[in-house]
Amino acid sequence: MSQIIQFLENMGKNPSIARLDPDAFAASVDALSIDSASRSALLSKDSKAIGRMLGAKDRLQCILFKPEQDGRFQCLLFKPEQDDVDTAIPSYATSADRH
Amino acid sequence: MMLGAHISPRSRSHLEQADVVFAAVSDPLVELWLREMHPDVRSLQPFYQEGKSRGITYRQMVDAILAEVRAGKNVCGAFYGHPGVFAWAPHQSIEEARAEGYAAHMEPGISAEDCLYADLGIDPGRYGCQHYEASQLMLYQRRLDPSAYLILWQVGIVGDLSYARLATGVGHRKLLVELLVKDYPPDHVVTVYEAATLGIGAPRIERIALRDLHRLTWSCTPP
Repeated sequence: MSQIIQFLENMGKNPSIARLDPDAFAASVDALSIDSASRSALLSKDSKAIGRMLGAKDRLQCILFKPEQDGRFQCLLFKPEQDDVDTAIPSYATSADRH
Repeated sequence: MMLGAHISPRSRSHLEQADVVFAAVSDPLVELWLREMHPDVRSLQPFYQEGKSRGITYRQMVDAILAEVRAGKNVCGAFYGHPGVFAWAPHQSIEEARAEGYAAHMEPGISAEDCLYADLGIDPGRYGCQHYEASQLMLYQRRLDPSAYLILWQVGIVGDLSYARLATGVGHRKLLVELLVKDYPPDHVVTVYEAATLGIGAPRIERIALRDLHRLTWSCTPP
């Protein structure tokens, strides 16, 4: 396991590492055999920089669910073609408009 | 949710002993962490595409997992949080594997919901607690109980009827506000929350008035 990932794993397991004062935290980072850029990223707790150095993906999608449309509940409002409108704000249907 | 912290010993054993691991995680570094635990970790991320219905994406996730099961492999799906909370593919994979005669089960995990209770210091038992996927609340005829907590999930994609977008905008969230102000005053304080995924990070906790709700990704609305 890479030393940086191992360090992050240890931080997850041991919250006292995150609570170290800056000098003690720097000392724990300095104990790793890593290059100066990695050291700097860890000291600044810059996860994006760490990810770039380790070749991680830029971003991940974290969506694993979509609401069911199985007919038990009726859709109340706008038509699909209105879905792309971000700035214009369609109003909610009144109860009389519901279908 | 957090690298190194929130994986149970049983889950780690499953992961390490599997022939193949499919991963859908919440932080790029968590994916790297998994790759260092197992030589054959297959990310489910490539199935997501802007403009492609998530229904297709989730179906493809299940198909990919089941293909390895049918090939006789010992398969582990590693999903962020709790694999059975607001997560379709894990439930479906297990259901289909069992229907085909394979042994399959789910290990519980620590979800964003669990982290929320700890970080915000709230107990769902105190007033009761409602959970809705934000679009489900907005699009379908659901009743809110303002005397209980309200937790909305996936606010960042609220109102996407196509299920093909990876984000929606201010207009959609204003529609959500329009709905919520029927039950809450506009100055009602809501909390935007995201769990921390790394020990070097911190949870996102922002409290704003309901009427200013425009960049939510997750919210907890107190009674």
